[in-house]
Amino acid sequence: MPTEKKSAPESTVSVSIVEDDDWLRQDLAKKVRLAKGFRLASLYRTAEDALKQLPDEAPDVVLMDIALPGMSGIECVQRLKEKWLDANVLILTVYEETDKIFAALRAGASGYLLKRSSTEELLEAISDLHEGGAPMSSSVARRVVKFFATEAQPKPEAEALSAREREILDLLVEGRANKEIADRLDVSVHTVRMFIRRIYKKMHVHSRGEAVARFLKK
Amino acid sequence: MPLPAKHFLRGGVVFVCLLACGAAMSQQISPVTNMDSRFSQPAAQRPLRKSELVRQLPDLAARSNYPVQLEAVVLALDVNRDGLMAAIVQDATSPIYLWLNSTAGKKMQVGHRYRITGIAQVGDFSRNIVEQKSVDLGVGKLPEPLRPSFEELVNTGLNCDWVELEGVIRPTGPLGLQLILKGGHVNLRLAKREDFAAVMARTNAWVNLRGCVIPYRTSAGQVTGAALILVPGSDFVLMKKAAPENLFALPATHVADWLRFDRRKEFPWWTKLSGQIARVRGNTIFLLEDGYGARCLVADAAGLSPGDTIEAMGLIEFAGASSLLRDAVIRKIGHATLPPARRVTVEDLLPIRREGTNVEQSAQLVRDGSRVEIEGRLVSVHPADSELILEMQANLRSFQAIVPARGSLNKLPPAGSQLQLRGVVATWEQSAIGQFSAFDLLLNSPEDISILQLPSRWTLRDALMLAGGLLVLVALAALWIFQLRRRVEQSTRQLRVEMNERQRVENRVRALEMQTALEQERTRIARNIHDELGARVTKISSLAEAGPNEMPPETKRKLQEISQASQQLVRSLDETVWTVNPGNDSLANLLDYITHFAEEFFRDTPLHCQLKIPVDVPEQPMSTELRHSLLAMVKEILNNALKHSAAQNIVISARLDGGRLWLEMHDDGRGFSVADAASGNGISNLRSRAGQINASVKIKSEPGKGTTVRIGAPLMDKNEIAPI
Repeated sequence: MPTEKKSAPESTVSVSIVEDDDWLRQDLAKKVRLAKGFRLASLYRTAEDALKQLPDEAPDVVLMDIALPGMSGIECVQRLKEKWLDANVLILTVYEETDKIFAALRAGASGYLLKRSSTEELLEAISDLHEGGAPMSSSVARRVVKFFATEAQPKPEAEALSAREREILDLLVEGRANKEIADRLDVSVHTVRMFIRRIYKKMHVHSRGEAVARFLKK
Repeated sequence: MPLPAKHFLRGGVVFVCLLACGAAMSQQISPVTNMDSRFSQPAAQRPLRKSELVRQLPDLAARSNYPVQLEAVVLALDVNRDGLMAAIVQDATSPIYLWLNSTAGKKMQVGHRYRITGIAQVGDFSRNIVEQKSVDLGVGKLPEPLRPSFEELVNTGLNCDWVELEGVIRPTGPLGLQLILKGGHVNLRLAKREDFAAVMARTNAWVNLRGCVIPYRTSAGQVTGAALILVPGSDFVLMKKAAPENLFALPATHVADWLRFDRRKEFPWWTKLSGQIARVRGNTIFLLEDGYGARCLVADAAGLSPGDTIEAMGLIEFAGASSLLRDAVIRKIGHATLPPARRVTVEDLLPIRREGTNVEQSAQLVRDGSRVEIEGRLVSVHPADSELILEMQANLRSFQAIVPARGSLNKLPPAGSQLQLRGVVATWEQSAIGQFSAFDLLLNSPEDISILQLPSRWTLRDALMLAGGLLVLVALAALWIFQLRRRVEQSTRQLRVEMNERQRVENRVRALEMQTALEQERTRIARNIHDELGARVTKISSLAEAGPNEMPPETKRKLQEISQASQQLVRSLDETVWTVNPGNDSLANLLDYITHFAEEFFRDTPLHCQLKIPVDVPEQPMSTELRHSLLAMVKEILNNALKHSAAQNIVISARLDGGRLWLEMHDDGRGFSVADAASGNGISNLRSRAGQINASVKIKSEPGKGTTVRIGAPLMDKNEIAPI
């Protein structure tokens, strides 16, 4: 059961938070609650609780802490995506730990954010995600490239990366910003974000069915 | 020529000559074969006038028909089977044998004195004379006779000598006569055959007779220990004591009484002994009489057997321990079972003689001829004539048991058996009572043998073989042990080497494990600090940022500084954890981390960072030290660029070439004079770090033209193992 719930106008982005640290959870909740155009859907202390409620609740974006007691955030994402394919999960981490972030992305997360990010950054990331975008740093991009080069096995339902996706990925590896990429390719930033989201989805499809334990080992 | 058959009785001193009288005579006459030699006498030689000289004549002279002329008294006349006549004559010196040839000579009379001419000749063992002419000088005087003992008679070389003897007349066969003396007997030869009946009539009578001694000799001239007495006539046999009418009517005597006799007193007359035969051996009968044993020597023991009770008539002879009835006549009375043998030990018979001890005090008195039971171990059996001799041993003393051979051979126990024997003690020497030096035990049959214990199957041969086998085993065992020891020593040496090697490896592994454990512990601690601290600093950061909008700008700025400092702190922690984690010791990890660091470092800065870092790099281990140093150098360079270059762009590139990792940082800032800056802390730190990892640093910068720093770090050989 969600520990808190509030009603809000229809146009807003509903957000659920899964965070075991009480202060952080409240801090995040406060930031979301106070922001215009965002609505706090629910708060969860554990992955297990979240997994029970979230598919029914179906918030627009889920903020998921990685280091949860019991079931980890990564496993929670994987199971959630099995039940609810359209879930938009934003992973929260203390550090930019590429291994964990990458594992969460493969499990089905759409983006990630450092916990120490400012309120603006937080809200922007939530909006981006809601609008279909996805963040991808250079180091995550390097991982993605390596993944498709070596780990990804050809599967009937899995698509290989398209030329454009590959192009965008290479630019991301070089550390280019989305704006710069958009300029180079003569597309909008939004399109670049959509591409990145598609890359994440393909990666997730490639990873689906793999044991959760594999991520947890990382 | 027949040799005299000699029957030697062990332990005895009596020699019985069975030689026929005729044979003895032929010895005397056989050399006289060539009658022509009488006429070829050398005239030049002076005749010998003493018979003694003739007897002493050397061989050579005796063979050269030496003339003899002497006056002598005829002691006895003799006729041999061939009808040759002879006389034994004696002059003043000694008697001599004389072959008679002349008519006068052949008419010689005993006791007459003659002048005799003849020649000396060699007999088989003495000189004698061949008579050629004799002149009767009338009745002469017979010499005084010698009175030798039996021993002297047969052993002192008496030949033709005139002797006087006393004894008992006994017939030996139809035509033979004997005179039984103290210590033995001699055969008698009567010069006149018509005298035989007269002398024979004196059988068993005690007589005194005179005659000439004619010793029995072998063809080689050796004494046989027996003699013949040539008695000139029955008138030379004087009866001193008539024969008893019925011999066996005499009262029986007892051995016990014999032993009390004084041996020096008068030679005993016929003695009667009643007893039981314990054993018959040849002509010796072992008689048991009232607890005593006695031996009887008989002419013929046929028909007598152990158990027979008899009466024996004979002549007592004392010879040490033995009580002997010699020349005994036996009359069988009945038969009875032998009494049980007395049980004795070999020590009783053969006691150890100790100084100052009386043997009789320490041992049972065992007399010769007594029947005893004794134990001993059979050593061996060997046949001798009609007997089997059992060599026995008991308590280190040896004796012989003698059993008649007939029917015994197959019934004897094997050698080594412990036996109990019953038999008659027959001593070898007739020494003092109870001091036998040796004895025989005379058994009647194998029934006198009881087997106490058969020999152990362990014979000496078996024992020797076992000992040999054991010796071989011991030798083999010794050899085996020796080899085993050598092998163990070898193995020990090898093991020691292996153990040292293993110890070395283990030490190495342990050191590695310890290092790994240390690293893991280090990592764990760092990660704990990192996670815990990271979460809290994140809170600080959020708190500092989330101040109310209406707070004074100064406060707000300070809070912002706190937030930034916190974030830097988190980054530093992150970096430290990455550095100490040995899981990151690879080139790929370094490049990933440089990417990650650069992104974070330039986030929210005006500087735009471009990365030209290859994604796909070969697997390449990299030591923590190298990784850490390179990251530190990159940080220093990026820090300088951010702080001092005022650049808009910075490009970080990496490539592998010639076994080196080349890292290049190029900015489009304002640049600086490398020469001026060389003494500055920033650049000297950089070079110092590069020196530590054997890397090169090249700084290219000019004022207004940006800055390029290139680091060339040597990579480890992939196959090289990091030294411990």
